Amino acid sequence: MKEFLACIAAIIAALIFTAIFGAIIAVISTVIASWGLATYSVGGVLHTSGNIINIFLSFYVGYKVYKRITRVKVNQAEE
Amino acid sequence: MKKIKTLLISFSIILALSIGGAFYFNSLGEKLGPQVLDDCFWICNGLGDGCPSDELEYKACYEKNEEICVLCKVDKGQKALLAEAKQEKYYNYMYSLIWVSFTSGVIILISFISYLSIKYSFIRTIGAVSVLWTIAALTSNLVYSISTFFIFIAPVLFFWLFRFIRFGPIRMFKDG
Repeated sequence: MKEFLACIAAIIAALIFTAIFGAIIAVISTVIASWGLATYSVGGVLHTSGNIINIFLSFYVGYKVYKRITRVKVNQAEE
Repeated sequence: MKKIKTLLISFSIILALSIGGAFYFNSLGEKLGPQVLDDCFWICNGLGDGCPSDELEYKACYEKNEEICVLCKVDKGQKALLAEAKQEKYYNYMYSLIWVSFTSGVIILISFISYLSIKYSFIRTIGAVSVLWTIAALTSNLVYSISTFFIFIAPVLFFWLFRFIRFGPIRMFKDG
């Protein structure tokens, strides 16, 4: 049950992270495109690749949150 | 601690001076606005051909619109250009002072947060800043969608997420 709750917390953390990082990536890719460093289509590619990185990062953050919660529970059990 | 206090006091003085200066140059620039320029032409034309030759009439004109009526004495064709150039100069000073005041404000804010962190508690100060930041983001006109809200509160959420992952749910709210 506790692990299930940790899993839910990890999913929520990952979703929040995805939302925030996705918004930041959207801004950064638009800014880069507007500088003229990239064409509009390349700006779209930047956005897409940023979103792919975002997915991996959100999995990582979710995993770390899950691990942290379950580790605390283990530590408490040891005490 | 002394350095932070010095920063706070010195940049507060700079902030006050720059805000005052910005208002001053704004008022100077407004005096040379297009409406005032039109008024001057109207006054000058009403008083005769171009600028008033009579000393009393000129004085009345001068008192009404000091800056622009000084320019009335200059060649008629040059008046508008001179007024515009002068107005632009005043507005450039104003924009520079706005940037100075903005930078001073940011430095004051950072210094004040550092001061509170050192004197009291780092985590409690950041907690208070986080709450205020979130309230500011919710009430700000700049936040018009959920995406902009996330961008605004990103530093706060990333900070607490980092604390959670690094220190855990209990130690994340403790100093040291």
